[in-house]
Amino acid sequence: MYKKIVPQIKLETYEKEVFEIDLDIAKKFGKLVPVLQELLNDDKPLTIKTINSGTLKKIITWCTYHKGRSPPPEDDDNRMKHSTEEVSSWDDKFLQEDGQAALFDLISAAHTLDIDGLLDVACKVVATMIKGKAPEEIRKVFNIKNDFTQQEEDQVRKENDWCED
Amino acid sequence: MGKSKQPKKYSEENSKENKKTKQRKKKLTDENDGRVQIKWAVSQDQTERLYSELGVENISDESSDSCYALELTPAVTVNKDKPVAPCAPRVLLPSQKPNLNQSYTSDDIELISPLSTPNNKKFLHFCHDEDDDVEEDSQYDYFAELSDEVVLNVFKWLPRFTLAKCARVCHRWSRLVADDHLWKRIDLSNRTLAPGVLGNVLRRGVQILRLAKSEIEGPVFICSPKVLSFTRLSRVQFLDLSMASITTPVLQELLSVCTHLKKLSLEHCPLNDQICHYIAENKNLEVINMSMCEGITVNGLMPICNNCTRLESLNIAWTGIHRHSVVYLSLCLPQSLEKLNISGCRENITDEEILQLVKRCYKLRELDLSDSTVITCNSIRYLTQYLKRLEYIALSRCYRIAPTTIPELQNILSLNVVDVFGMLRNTALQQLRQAISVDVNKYPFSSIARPTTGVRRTSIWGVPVRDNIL
Repeated sequence: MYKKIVPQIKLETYEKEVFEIDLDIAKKFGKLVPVLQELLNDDKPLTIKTINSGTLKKIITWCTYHKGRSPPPEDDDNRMKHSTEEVSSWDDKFLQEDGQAALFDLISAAHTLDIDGLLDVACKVVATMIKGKAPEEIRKVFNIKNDFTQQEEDQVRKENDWCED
Repeated sequence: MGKSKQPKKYSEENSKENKKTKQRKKKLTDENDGRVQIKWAVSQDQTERLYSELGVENISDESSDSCYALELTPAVTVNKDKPVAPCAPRVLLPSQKPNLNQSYTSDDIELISPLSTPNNKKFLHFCHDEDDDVEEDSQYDYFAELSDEVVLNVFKWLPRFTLAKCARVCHRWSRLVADDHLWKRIDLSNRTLAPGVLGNVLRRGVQILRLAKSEIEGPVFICSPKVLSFTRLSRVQFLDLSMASITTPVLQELLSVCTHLKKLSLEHCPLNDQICHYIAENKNLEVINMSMCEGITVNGLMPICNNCTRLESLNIAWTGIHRHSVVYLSLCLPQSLEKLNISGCRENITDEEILQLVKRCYKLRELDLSDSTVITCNSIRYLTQYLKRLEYIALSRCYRIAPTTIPELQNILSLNVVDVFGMLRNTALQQLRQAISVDVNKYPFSSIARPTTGVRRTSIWGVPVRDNIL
């Protein structure tokens, strides 16, 4: 076998599909960081049964797009500014183009692999979908069943009254 | 939550899939024709082991069909543009899940998804399986699949009023909205809080609470007798009640549940001895701002001085405390004190109290003695003699101090700023500035123990009071 120029690790998805991932992309997978060296030396892929191929492909695309953009320094003011930042239009389009199922798969996977930036931005997109909607609209958008009795809902409304400016 | 539902879902899945099995098998076999296939020659034992590692049941009577050969092939990158449909009927129940360590040796890596096991229905979304019922996708509650932790990660970007709406969506959301992580910081300044509202806020587990200039109507808690008293204990650490409109009984009820306070501002609030006792229950208090408070007596000051042994910063300016309270403070203030504003005592503080004070609180870095109308140049001498760490001193309108003695303060090497507003005319002020190397008349208003200074109103004592929201 010839020697690889770019070090890569192998991940196997739910569908048993094996992906070869460049090391600098894999470094963004927080969960894998402690075992990266091991994975590099090992020719056998690491199986992640909870992530499907479509999702992993999207993760790789996202990480590749954001490669080189170093996270802003962690001082307090900057952190505030960074976290209240709107989702960029590229991220917004990229995360929403495959529909809700894909977006939620991506959130789960980003959480599993501990990809901070992706988890945050994907959660922000979902938060934006919730924002400005009435409870009934929220249920409709996400197909959530209303398990409240009228009485219970009134009670919850009362407890949260003060939040509504 | 989702976990307990899993087995049921899988059995549904299985029965549904079984109907399709024949069709699907056929399809897979057809697909295989056009695909590169690497087949490994393995023994029966190895095959079984591989099956189990891969989470696939070996069903021998359905023969060694070639359609599974692909799944058996480890470490082969198949055609990435056209992913394989997962072999759904053969996914094991979670209880039968093979040990991950068998297929990979790293024990220290834990890859437990918030989706405890993959959902086939969802995965097919990416596999473009025409057989699958696509409409079903749009009816699916994806939130049910996310762990509480991840849902909270979504909620954390939402503003308060949206969270209030989320709470009304369903029982689970209602429970999650109440999670204390979402309510660490709350700014309700300049608001009118109806009876019971403050109790609701405290029950959310708020830690940083700004109520400056709010109008707070009592009672704090309205709840059934069922609710035990310990559930009322608040976790507030930073509490800003500056200029709030609050009555003594309501303030008493509020402070009776606070035992974790670190920084407290009660500027211009009406106090009594009982309230001071409750304040003293907070043994970790570092900062207290009681400037312009009424109702402070020596009986209230005693528990505070005795219990709050970590106090670093105290503002007790313009509280109209009596002379014996001043005497008590000069003898008993916590020795940890580094910043003190005791201005506005007028003739109730004399050189003698200053001497006692500087002897006791030798760690003082900032001291405001403005409007002490009877202290003299003796006090200047005591300050110079005992306060070796002093950086800031205010002696504004201390008319008995001869301005010519002010330059003596230079002997305190750490001193940076002297404020002597109202004591010197312009020419004299210029002369003083030339005579001494420290800044003169820099800060007309004291910042000691105050939660907000200047125009910044988004944080108290440097800690942000607003969440990071979209």
